[in-house]
Amino acid sequence: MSARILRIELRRSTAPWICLAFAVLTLALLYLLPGPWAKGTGAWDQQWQGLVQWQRFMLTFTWPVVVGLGAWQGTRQHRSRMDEVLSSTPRSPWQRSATLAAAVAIGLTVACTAIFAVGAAQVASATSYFSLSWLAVFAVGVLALVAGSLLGMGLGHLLPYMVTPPLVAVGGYALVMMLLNIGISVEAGSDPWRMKVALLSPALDGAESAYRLVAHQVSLAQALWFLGIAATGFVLLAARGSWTRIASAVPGLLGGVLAMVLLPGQASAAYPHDTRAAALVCDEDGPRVCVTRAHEHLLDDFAGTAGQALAKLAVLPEAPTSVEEVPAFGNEERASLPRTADTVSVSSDILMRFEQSGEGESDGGDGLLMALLAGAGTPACGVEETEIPARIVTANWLLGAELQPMPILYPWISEDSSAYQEMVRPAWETLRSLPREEQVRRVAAVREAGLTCEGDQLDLLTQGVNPQ
Amino acid sequence: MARVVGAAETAPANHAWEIRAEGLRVAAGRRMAVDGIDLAFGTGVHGLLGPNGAGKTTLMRALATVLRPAGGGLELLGESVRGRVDLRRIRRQIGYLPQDFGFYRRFTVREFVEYMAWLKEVPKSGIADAVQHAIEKVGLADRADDRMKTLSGGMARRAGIAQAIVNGPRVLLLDEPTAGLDPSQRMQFRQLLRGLSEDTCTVVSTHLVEDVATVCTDVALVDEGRLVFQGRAADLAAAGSGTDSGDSPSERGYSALLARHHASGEGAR
Amino acid sequence: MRWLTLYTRSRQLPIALLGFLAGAVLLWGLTLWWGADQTGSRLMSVTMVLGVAAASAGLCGFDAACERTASFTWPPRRAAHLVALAAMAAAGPLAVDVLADSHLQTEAIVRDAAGLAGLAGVGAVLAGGSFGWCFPFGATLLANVPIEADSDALRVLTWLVQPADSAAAMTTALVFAAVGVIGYAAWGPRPA
Repeated sequence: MSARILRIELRRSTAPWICLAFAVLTLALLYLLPGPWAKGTGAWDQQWQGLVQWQRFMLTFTWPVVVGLGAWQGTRQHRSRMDEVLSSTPRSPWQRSATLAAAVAIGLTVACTAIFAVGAAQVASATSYFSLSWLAVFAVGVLALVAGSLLGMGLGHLLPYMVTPPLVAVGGYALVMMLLNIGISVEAGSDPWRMKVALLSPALDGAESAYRLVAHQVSLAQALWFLGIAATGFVLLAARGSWTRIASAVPGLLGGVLAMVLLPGQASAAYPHDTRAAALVCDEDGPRVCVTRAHEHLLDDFAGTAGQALAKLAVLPEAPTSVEEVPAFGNEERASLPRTADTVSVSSDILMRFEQSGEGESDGGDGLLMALLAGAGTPACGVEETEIPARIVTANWLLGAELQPMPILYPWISEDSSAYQEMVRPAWETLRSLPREEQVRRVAAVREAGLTCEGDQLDLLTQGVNPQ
Repeated sequence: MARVVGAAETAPANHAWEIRAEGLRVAAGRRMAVDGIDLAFGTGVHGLLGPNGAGKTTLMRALATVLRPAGGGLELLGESVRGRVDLRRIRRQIGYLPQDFGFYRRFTVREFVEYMAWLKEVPKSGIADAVQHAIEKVGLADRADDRMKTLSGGMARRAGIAQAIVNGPRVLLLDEPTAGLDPSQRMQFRQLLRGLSEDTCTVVSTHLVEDVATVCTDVALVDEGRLVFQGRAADLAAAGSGTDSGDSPSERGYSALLARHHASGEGAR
Repeated sequence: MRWLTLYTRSRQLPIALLGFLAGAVLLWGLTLWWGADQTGSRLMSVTMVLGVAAASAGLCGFDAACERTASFTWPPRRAAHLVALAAMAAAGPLAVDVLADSHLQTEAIVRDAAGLAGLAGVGAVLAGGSFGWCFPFGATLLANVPIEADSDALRVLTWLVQPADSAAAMTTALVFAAVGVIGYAAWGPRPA
């Protein structure tokens, strides 16, 4: 391979345009659309793992584009009527194709790295947790793109018609969407082949939380699969004889078989929990306050708010003495959150929601404080109809200020809403009209109910007992 | 011209003819477009004449090693190209301008010629010089850094000639090089042909008889896949008489030879 | 009808028809395999754009400059071409709806077909035969990004997969269809 020729291909082939289209499309989707990648603890601008995993997720939409534009590049030789003069040259078509493939591969690597760098600038300021678990995921993403572009180029060279690029692009897209749909239909205990097939897609599930990894086994299997695809595409691009073209299917099929053997059959094995990121880091100076390692940078601020919350809760009998963040792995029920009497548990999702929306707003800290106090320091049980008004009332009572809604946690219960007018305010007024000891007794009863998830919290507030 | 001289070229020539065909048959699709041609071209400029569909282009493609002969013998630079042979050594010394010459539109002229030089395995150190010389030779030096797509038809043709001569070929095959050139460009082209180094075997396929008459040392006339005539340009002119159609002695000779070939072909049937 | 035969061949209609057929068969097969609940408008849009993209490449003929010199008037023929394209795009999913009792809504199918065909026309005018397909394809890509379309702007963006009663989506599709048909009829494909 010649450096000068590589430079010419880098500048004059479709390579820069493929990469520009890829990078612009990815960043536009990430920035301009309010998708799941901007939410939750694993958002693309919050954690390293999340950044790379959402970048992989975006391949659902960008990979077919790269394949289609690759196919357009693949038709170049025929389109430019260069077949004749090229077939009289001594240099082998393998070298010629390798230079073109290298140009596209370099371009795609640069584009991927640029997108990563944009995200990295945000992640670096958003978290202090760092591990290299994302590296393999990122590398496989680059490989998948290169393989896709090579496959496109090979198909475009094989069938140098105007209709090839659109058919290849849409065909690739239909395939990725099918694999996505198969992936969505996977449940615990369903056929292993479903998960395996879904994992053949260049795209991965987005990071639902900061505490999920992509198994290295998955990356390894996908690397083999995309190496096979890349080899197939390259052989198609360079081959002259029809037998070589038929043989080009072999590496792709081989990669596919190896991947199917190696890929895990269950979602839990493919996306294991990141126990390192989920491990607790505690501040023992005052009352014990713990956050997960992924949110270690929040600990100082959070310890202050948590200390205030514990102080407010101290008016209750058997008050809790510590606050712990509970990592949301993204797949458990609310009701399964730990409910221990001496610890206030707050889920990572709630913590992150305040971190993301509270920055710059004066009531961010107060909102989080109220969230900790809601249900008298217990996690929600998931009985939304009556539980949430009770949570709002208890939070306000413990805070000791005028009644106010909790817009960040419960945006649908504003001051004008019927739930607020008909449940929250009456309950608040009923509670406030009682003698102080009775108020404390009723809030403590709500706490009891929150720890066991038994009984109706709103009834406990308004009537003091549960009607049997 | 400072040519890049490869090791293969400095070796003493062990062949009498650069191109030598014996009973050469080449298929174009299902048709046998070249059907038993005997030819021998040494150094010098050879004109390949014939009406449309005579098999000129198919013959040129076979000489350029694009098509494999279907029968007969073909030797290029003393090496047979039949069977499973490594063509790389021969191809390094071939320059070829196809009839339907295409190019990568986004490349500049220099980049395109450089790309072709690389494909023809011109030694790395010599590429830049060889490219510059080839471009100067065809008079495109002032457009060297313009994109190929900005060139007019005639200029693109000249860029095609530049890529054909960039490796200093010993066999130069130009298929209708003057198509699309204006009269002054055609004269320049003839000048260029005359200036090519003397140890090159140049084959110019054309159906413009006057191109041949002015620069070619040697003429081959093909019709219906067969060789009708091979001789000096003067012999072509001499073959005609006042009664044959045409505006110049060469054209009259061309018509006369073709008419005679047709007559004999029909007589044989 | 000789000219019609030649016209369809010059527009690579056979390959477009194959695209539509393949899309319909895919949709049908998946509806049978996964059940009607799993195959909604998202999947329908993907299978529909297969044929539309293939037909996009054919919207330009072989030599736009040469065809402009034709003595008859192009606009009605071009408009008819796009309308026929929309009809072919709608035919597949409609047939699947009859065959497999899917949950697709007829209005949504017709809306999507008209909008995508219009976008193909817009693409042919603006980007020519080589890249005109990017318009309907891009619309499909955007529509399938998993976002909650809770504002009109987002409903316009994801018009392809909105329910049939979404006014924003219907308006968007009609605008694309009208602009596409009128633009393509009036200006014709962009010369290569």
